[in-house]
Amino acid sequence: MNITFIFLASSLLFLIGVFGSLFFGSVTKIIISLQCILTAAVINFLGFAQILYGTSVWAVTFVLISVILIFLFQFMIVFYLNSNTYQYQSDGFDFSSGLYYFGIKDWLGE
Amino acid sequence: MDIGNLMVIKNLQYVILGAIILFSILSLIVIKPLKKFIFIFLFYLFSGFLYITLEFMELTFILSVPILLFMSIFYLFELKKDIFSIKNISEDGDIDYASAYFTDKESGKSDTKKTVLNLVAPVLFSALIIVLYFIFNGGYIKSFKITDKITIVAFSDIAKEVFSNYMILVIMLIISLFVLVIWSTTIINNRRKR
Repeated sequence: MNITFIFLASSLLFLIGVFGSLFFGSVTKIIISLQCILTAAVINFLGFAQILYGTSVWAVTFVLISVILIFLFQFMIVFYLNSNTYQYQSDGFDFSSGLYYFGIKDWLGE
Repeated sequence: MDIGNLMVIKNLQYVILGAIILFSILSLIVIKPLKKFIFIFLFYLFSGFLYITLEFMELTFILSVPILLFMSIFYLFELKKDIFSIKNISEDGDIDYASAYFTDKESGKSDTKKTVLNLVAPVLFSALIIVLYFIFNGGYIKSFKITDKITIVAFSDIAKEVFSNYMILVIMLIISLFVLVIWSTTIINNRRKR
C-alpha cells in the first residue's frame, strides 16, 4: 500500500467537503459536507500518526476526544435547528435569523 | 496484540477509500432523505473500516456512539423539515409563506450572475487548494513508509494516557468552554425573540 494514496484520497474528500459547503444552499448538504471535511482530517491525522510513530496512544485519545466534542457541537446545532424548523426555509440557510448572528441590541439591550 | 496478514489489510485500503469517496458524493447528490441517510450511514461505516485498517480498531467502536446519536437527531430534523416545510405551514391560513417563497425563487432564476458566481467561486477556491497542495506537498509524503509490525492499543492504555497526560484534559476543557459560550449566546438570542 502506497501511503500517498491515503493522503490523496483524504485531500479529495476534503475538496468535496469544501466545494459542497460553499456550493450547496440547504442546511442538510452543508452539514454532510462538513462531515466529509471532518472525516478527511481524521484520516490524515491517523495516517500521519501511523507513519511517524506506529500506533500511538496519544493519537487515539486526541482523535477520540476532539471528534466527540465536534460531534457534540454539531448535535447541538442540529438540535437547535430541529427545535425551530418552522422558522427556516428548507432550501436556503438564512444567517441573519438565528445562529451566528449577534446584533448590537443583543449585547447592549433595547 | 499483533496482526499477521498485512497484505490483505493493505489491499483492502484501496477499495475502502474508493467507497468512502463514492458514498460521500452520492450522499450529497441524492435528493430523497431516506436514500441520502442510507449513503451517509455507509460513508460512516466505511470510514470505520478504514480506521480498522489503519490499526486504530478501538476508535471504530467508541466513535460509533456519538455518530449514532448525531445521525438520529439529524434524521429527525430531515423528517421534521419535510412535515413542517413552508408549503405545509401555508395551509394553516394566516400568513402565505409559500407564495412569497416561490416568487422569490422565480425571480432568483433570472439572476444568472448570482448563479455563475455561486458555481465559479467554490471551483476557484478548491482549485487554489489543489495547486497549493501540489506545490508544497509534492515530494514530502513519498519519503515515508508504513511500519511493518502492527499493534493495537488496548482500552486500559487509553485510560492511562487520559489520567497521566494532562494536556488532553486542558484541550478538552478549552474546547468545551468555547462550545458552551457559543451555545449559551444562541439560547439567549432565541429567548429574547420569544
